[in-house]
Amino acid sequence: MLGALNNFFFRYEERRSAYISVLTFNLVALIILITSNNFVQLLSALFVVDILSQLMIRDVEAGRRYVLLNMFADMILFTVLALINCRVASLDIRQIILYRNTGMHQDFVALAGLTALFAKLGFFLFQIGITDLKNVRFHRLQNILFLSSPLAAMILLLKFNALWRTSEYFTMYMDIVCILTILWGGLGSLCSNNLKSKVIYWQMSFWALFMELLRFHGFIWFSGFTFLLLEMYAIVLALYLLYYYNNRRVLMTQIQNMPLTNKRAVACVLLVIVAVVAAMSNTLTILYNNMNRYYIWTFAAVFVLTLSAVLKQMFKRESVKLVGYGPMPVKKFMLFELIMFCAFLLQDWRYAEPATWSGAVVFALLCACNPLAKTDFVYGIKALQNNDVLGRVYHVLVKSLRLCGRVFWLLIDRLFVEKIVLAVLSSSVSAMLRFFRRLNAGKFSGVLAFILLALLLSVSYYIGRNEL
Amino acid sequence: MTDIFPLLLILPLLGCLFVLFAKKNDNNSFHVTLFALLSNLAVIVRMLTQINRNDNDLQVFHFAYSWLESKSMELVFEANLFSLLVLMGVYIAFIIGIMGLTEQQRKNKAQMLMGLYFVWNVTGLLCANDMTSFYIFFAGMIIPLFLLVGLYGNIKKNSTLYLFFVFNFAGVLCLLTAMLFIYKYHNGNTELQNIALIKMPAGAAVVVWGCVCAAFISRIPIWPFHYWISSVNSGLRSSLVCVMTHMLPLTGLYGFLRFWQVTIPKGILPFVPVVVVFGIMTMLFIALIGLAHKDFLQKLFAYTTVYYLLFLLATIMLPEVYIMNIAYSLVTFLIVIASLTVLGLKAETACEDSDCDYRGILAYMPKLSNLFSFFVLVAVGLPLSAMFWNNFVLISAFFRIGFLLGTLMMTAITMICMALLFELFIMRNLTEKRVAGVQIEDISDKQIMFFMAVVIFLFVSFFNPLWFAF
Repeated sequence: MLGALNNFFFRYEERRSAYISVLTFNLVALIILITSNNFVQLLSALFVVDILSQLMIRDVEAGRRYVLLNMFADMILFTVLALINCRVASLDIRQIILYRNTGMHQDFVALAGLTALFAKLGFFLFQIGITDLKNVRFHRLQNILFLSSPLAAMILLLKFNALWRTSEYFTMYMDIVCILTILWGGLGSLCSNNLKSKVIYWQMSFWALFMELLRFHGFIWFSGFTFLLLEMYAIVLALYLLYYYNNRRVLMTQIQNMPLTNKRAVACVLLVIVAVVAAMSNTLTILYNNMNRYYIWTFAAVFVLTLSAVLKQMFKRESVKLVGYGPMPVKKFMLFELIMFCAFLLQDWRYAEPATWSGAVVFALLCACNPLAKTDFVYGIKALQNNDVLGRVYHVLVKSLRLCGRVFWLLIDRLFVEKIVLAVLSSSVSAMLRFFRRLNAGKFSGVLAFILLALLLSVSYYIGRNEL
Repeated sequence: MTDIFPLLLILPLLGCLFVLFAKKNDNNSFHVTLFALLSNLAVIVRMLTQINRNDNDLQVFHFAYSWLESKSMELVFEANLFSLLVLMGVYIAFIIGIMGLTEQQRKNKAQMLMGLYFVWNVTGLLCANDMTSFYIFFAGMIIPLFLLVGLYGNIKKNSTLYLFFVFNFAGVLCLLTAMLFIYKYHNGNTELQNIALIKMPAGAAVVVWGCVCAAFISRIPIWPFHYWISSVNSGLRSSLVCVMTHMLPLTGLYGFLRFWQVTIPKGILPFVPVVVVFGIMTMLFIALIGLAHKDFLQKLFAYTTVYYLLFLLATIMLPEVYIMNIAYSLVTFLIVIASLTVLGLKAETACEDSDCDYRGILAYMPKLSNLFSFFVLVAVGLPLSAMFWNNFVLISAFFRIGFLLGTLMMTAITMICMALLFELFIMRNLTEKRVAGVQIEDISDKQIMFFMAVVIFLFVSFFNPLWFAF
């Protein structure tokens, strides 16, 4: 709803209704995914979400790896579900409990299933699928990161965790990948010069934390998770507004007139960010009280440090008033504030503690003086900006497969079949022809050969009849 | 129930006769061919409506013809739900192939005649229920195919064409040998389902079933025999001939299905694991090659091979209860490969002189591109047709047989689907082309309407594969 309203009031799309209809179809597919009780429904909804995400991306180059990785993930899920189906002999998802009791290859099912989810979420080693999305329009990027395949992956996790948890490797694998994702996301958000890439990396970290929080909570949903999702969405929305009202310049090194031209917008967005961080602190406090995990604060520290550093970097840059970029219109400003205020009020403030508010205060202070902000020299390192080292895994995998194919084709098709088998066959046929020609050249040799053949046939017929 | 069954075999022959006497360099032959195909499709749909789906006995339509007034040479034809569905797929694929011909190609009488004759042979093969008629149609179809491939195939190497013919002819000879042996031990013609029950010496059984397998494998591109079939496929530029070559493995697949209808014969049982191993090896190998190739027709060939092998292994290894899943999947598969062939060739021909990439989501021909994207998505197994969940059932059944078997199959399918999906993203940057002002004519509105009908047919089949008949 936020995505649709945001698009409706702020007119980001030339064809608003078409985009909103895609969002609505996506919502329907997600509802089917949530309510599905058989594998066919589930897989159908999942694939529909993938197709719709492609429509949302609308940029071929950006969506290429995303689609391919999603396809790869879907195929793994297809395999896993087919394996489950073969054991329980039922398409009913509720029957997976039977697989838990009798099924084999439970480790494979758990690890392959998790791998598929990681690929859909763009986690560590699979991030190339989503980092390419930096060329997509910002609001589309936001909706893809929240509402399409990643959300579908989370729904799948909630549906199948009971089965996957039977593997002893499940927790270990999930922990390792999630922690690495959080760290890699933090690092990426600090080092990348592109604001959209930063958002993607933050989102990576966020989904990893979300997954871990779900695990700590026994994969049982409660309102805190909903608020956490909304809060993260609001933060990305605020970042988007910063980008939108500041020349739509996506590179950090090109953002120049942040405090000058759009004072109202900047003030508004900053206020929102601080408020949302407070709300997020509140939610995390609730989750922390419920689960008593220090792990949560690791993410909070990474997130707050990197976000505040990036905001500080934005504001400390030289301000130049640019022509052609007007201030944020009052109506939009009021509307944005209203939506955010409503979202803020909706929070569950019953458990608010001084620690909750101190989170916001610390964040505001960090925005003013964060030593990490001085790391902006990395934006100038081209090698770093153009290469996500671990994202190269995709290239290595695809290229090595293609190379294997070419080598096989060359060695087996061209060299073995064409040059050896066919050559031998041709030579044999030629030799046989020569042999018959020579036989026929003599007076009786040809006749003798045919008599011999007839004799052999007669003998075989006679022996065959006796055996019968 | 049997009243209209003979029509199925007579209509294409009548069509051939009319095409033979049609004017040269005119559209008459095209219209007659199209009419013959459409009318036979109507007959098939009518027959499908007459079948009771709940009836366990699959053999419903029966028709016998005494040849030379000899009981031992009675030709028997039978059609069941499976064969009718596959026939429907074949006819729709042929109609798509014919619709994909250019204006110039449509005026080619010989092509139409040979095409229709080939269809008649396929129809006869799918309805044949005795050894002799099966052999006649099995052998008969390579003549028009060879002529068409030779005349319109644009084959660069004569040796490739020669090998293609020799290889198929060797297959026919193998089946002839098997037929003669069967004739000897049964003292006459026999129905296909009874062949496995004929008593014969162990050595003779090995020869018979070895020949039968060799004959059918000659049609299915199992390694190392795939080479010349792929060589022929990649050179073709007529959509009709291309569709015909894609149909060829179907005849081998169907042969296995009919000959091993009851059970795998004891004579061949020890060799079945070898066929399975070779089948899976070929699937993986061809999928890898498909991933490596840049030519779309080669990729499509790799895709069809992988899926035909999937169906072949399903035929050999899975119980009879899965036969309808194979049929539903096969119908969609035939339609999809015919559509992809036509659209791929059309785009390739249009772009031949202008040095441009054409397929994918971004293309110079947006209408064609949208249709192409849809068929690629169906082909890679998205839930847009009946192929999706029927393949799911088949793969599940393979997992029941063996974990490794299922995993290897899924690996091959994933690779080939990825290869096909790459086609959607083949064009990366349109800027240069826009600057150059490249303009290519898109497909016509009539063709769009036609393909939209195919799209609707496929999409509705996702909910009910027999929606048109019941």
